[in-house]
Amino acid sequence: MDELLEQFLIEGRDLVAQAGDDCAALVRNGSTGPVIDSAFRAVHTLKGSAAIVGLRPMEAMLHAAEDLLGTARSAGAAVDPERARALVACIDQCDRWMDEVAAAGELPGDAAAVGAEIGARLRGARSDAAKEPAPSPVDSRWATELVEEERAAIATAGAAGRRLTAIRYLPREDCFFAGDDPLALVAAIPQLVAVRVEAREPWPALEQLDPYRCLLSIQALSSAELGDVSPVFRLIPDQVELAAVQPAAASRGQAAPTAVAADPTIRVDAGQVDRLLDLIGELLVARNQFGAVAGASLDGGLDGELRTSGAAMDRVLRNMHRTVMAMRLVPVDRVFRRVARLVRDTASRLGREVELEQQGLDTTVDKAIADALFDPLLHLARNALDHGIEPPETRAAQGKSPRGTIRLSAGSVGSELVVELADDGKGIDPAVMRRLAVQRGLHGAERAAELSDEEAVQLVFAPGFSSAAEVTDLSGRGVGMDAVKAAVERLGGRTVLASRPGEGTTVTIHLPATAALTSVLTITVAGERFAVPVEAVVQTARIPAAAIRPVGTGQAFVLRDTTIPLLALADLLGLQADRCEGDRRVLVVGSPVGLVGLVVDDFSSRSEVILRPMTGLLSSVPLVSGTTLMNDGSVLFILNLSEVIG
Amino acid sequence: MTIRAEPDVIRLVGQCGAEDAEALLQLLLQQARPLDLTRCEHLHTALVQIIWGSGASLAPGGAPMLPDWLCQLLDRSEGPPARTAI
Repeated sequence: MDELLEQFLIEGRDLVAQAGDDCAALVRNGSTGPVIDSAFRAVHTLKGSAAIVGLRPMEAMLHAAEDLLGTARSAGAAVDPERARALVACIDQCDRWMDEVAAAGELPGDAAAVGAEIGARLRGARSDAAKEPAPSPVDSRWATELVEEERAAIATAGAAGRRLTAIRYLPREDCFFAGDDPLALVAAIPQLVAVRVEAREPWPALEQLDPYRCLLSIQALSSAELGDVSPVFRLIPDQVELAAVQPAAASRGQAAPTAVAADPTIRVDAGQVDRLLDLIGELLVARNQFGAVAGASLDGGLDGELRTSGAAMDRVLRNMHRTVMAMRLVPVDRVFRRVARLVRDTASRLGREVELEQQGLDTTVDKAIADALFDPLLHLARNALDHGIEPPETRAAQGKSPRGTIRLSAGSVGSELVVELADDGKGIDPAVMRRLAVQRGLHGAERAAELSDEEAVQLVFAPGFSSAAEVTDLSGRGVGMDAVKAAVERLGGRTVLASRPGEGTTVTIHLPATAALTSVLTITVAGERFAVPVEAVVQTARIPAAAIRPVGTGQAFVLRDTTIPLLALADLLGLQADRCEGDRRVLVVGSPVGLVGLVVDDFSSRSEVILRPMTGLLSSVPLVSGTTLMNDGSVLFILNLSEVIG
Repeated sequence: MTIRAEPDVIRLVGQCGAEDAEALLQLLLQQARPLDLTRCEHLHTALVQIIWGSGASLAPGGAPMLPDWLCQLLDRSEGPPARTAI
């Protein structure tokens, strides 16, 4: 894909996000002022970017949106609800198109028609609905004047009558320190027609001249397309204005410039950050090896010094790790927004009326988690719409507001990220769940009757619980709630569901705040080493053989007045283990049916490791949630204990 | 060394970057001399600003390796920049 288009797809998402937020606020409370300003800027920039990469239908549609917002802005008025909704539709459409462009490299065939339809909705009943869009109300006088004044140079360059790109470049005074060389950038402009360099202030005498302060103001004209000029200033968009000047318009003293957005951040490929994290992991391993070697070959005198420098190294390593982890943090709203769009799409397809509330959008989360969270959330949202929120007439008949509410929220609680999706729909009926559990052979009738209401609704998480009977075109895509639960567990988290019939369902996902650094306990089973997450282990214990009693076909032991079933981890993993006599080393872990003891050969001390999730073909390997590199360079599998026990 | 002070000329050679600015400023403050840019391949904006401030003239031969418009910007007797078209 062409680099400019790639850049557009990255930056465009942010602009869509910003515009989407603002437009949603306009729908909610008919805001004026700052929200309209912000929406206008985002839409304006997005339009300019779409023009640069040649997405004409998108540009035209956004032009209508920009007009609408521009009018409201200059009148200080609110946007009427109908057209505010058209704005939301317009932004959603941009998002959808960006997905298509990312996948196919171009807009779909119906883009012009779809864009025109939304454009018409945006123009609404406006009597002055322009047949021909007016040039955008951006200050472009300088571009026009520049073309007028440089007419001779334009003629000399043989560029008379051609479309020109005007450049206004005001280098920051301290730009030399940033490594900028303004005149070199000007030299890099393709098809340069004219350059004007002016002093920003009276030129100081040589004695007073600060050699590192840039005093210049630069204007230039190029006969290249704006899209070919803008990459030159890619790194300093805040110091440059670009405008495409149509020659005909130029002679009438009108120009339709396209401003280029400013961006104070740099973008780094996520793969590079991951690579950096891997390197820190390797450095950690090297540091630990060094510690071991130094410890072994110590003579008294060096001891203190080595330990001091080791501690300094550790401090720097921890800092590096923290910093890189912080680089990987993204606001959760990236995920929420995409979910929100699909909720709107789906709701209209199903004929449901839904208000989507979002909270905690600025909560940050590791990028790996954010990416992996999308599918589970999407599935939960679909479930809420398909099985939760009732049709408007049903809701009205029950005395509920015809408009359902889906609340999507995120927050940090301690070291956990808590994401919640709640609906005020019909909830889950425990009686129905008991009946279905019997029908689908998950439980006998007797056992099903014994389930408490709370336990009964948890059955939605049982593998294979959803069946063809309730598969719709929407949520029935071969993945049930068990897939949601499994996906969350792969991230080291857990899923909690609460539901009241008639009132709604809330699904809460608890996740570790960062997926990358995990405390693990190294264990040996049947002579092989594995690791288990420390948080999965309630305690470790040494149980004398005499304390182990046969219970039915299995074994159990008593720990603090509780009888705990005892299983051999080797058997669960399908490994051959020698039957051992004497004391057993046991991991006590929690499970849905209470505590369980797992017999292992041995356990060693805990350590902090960088967990790498299983990827590619390995991601479907059962029982294992990831791998980690150990001090001696070996690779350990991290067991997913709830899968192992289940 | 990209900047060489000679008795009657200051010679700028090769890629002259912002790090040369202080040296060039000091040389010009010591003694105004014409600048020889015949072998200058790149001239950083910071150096251009100093040349303008000094009002120094270009030695014969001009600056064949710099863009034409930049030569025109440099080749002026009045010193500080006003405006220039190419």
